[in-house]
Amino acid sequence: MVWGQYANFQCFSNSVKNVVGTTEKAHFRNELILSEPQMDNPPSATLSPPPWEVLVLVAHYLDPKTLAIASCVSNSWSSSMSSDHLWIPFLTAHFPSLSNLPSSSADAVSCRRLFGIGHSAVKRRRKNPTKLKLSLADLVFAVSISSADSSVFSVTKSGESLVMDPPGVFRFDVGFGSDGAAVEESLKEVKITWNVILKGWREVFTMMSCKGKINFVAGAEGWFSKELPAPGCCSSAVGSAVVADMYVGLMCGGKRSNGKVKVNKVSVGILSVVDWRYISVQDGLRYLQHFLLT
Amino acid sequence: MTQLDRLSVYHWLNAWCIKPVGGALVRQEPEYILLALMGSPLKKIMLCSSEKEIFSVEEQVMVQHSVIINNMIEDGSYNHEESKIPLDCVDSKTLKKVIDYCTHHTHHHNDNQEDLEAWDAQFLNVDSNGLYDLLMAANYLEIRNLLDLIYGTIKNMIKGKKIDEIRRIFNIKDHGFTPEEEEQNRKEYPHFY
Repeated sequence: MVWGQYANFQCFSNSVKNVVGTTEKAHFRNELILSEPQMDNPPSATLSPPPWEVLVLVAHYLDPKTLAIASCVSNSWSSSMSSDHLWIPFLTAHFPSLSNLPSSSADAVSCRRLFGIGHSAVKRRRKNPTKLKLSLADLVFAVSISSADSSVFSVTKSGESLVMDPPGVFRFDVGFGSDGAAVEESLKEVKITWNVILKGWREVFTMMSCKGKINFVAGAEGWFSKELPAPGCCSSAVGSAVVADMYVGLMCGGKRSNGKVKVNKVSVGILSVVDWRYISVQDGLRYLQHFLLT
Repeated sequence: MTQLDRLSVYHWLNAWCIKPVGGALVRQEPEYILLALMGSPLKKIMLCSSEKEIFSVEEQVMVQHSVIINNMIEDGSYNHEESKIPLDCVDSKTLKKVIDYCTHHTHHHNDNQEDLEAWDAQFLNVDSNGLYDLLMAANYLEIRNLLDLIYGTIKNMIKGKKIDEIRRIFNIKDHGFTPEEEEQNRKEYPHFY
């Protein structure tokens, strides 16, 4: 009995029409046979403006960006989409540091506006590095160390031939071994200069030009550094976080040198004073770009 | 049937859901077996639209989709023999569509995702106000998946578009802003225009 009744249900059929038709008709009045989905409506080309109830419902469903777009569409849309209670959750979620502003300030501000300015603040803080147009091959490094009476060390090296030490950072060996003159062992006051020249003698930037003391003894080392100016529009009060840095290493001249020493190794680089690391080659080139390329 | 623990019977029946039909072994929906075993016909409920038109629907179909109707039936206030559920917020045309949606999704829930999505897309090809009426009805009856579907559709009409485009899509002839307000909007969100 049960299965027989069952067979009539035809539960596998797509439309409920069959189920309704065979057994249920007698029980219900004004019964409508549910038909297949309407296929005769043409695809909707135009919508009418949605009523405010729809706007209010939809507003709860939207993400901040879509909500902001929607609030600019029309007056009625704006009143549904700008209300504070919609924007407060977004504000507290994305910019918690701004979320106490509406209540604390005497000057009323809408949460929607706060979210907007919070969003643009993040964009502005996210520094987009400027496009790098300078490469090492465009540069010439000129380093010289001179004492009161004579030049101790002087070298001019094209950027391509510079060796990064260590690789990837803006620090280079500019000369070692035989480039320098032999000097008597003593403590001397020296003048150190490091210039970076744009190839073809188009521009020059003086990285460091300062006086210091080197104890000209075999195996001695000297470190020199000079603050670099801040690139861009800030006044000198807002300093840069980098210094030009030079290392001078001395070697003994050996038996035949008559107690004279030579400069063995010279390295120059740009050092960040924030974390005491040499900056990357790209950052160094970007820094120089400010001063060498207009 | 409401006294029985539907869930446990469901599980028990799931193991017995094989019925020979015309010589072939076919998987059968447990709800229908349950109903058949209980000896009662497929439970129907009656929904009454705002225009006083009565629609008869399988109880399972509506209970599965509409939270409101499920609650009404669960708490026993609905008497299958006599009562009908009055839905004064929903007109006949919309109610018919809603029932359509629920029925299709109940009977076709095993279909693959693409087919269901294609059917949904076709389902939403209604005239302008029909979409909004459907949304209000789905909201009233608390039919989660239909609501999500319509919200998603409207959201896609707004998302990523310029303001002028949106005004065209929704046929908003007059935006009603004062020139100062419009100017301020343009300054605040220049990339939206």
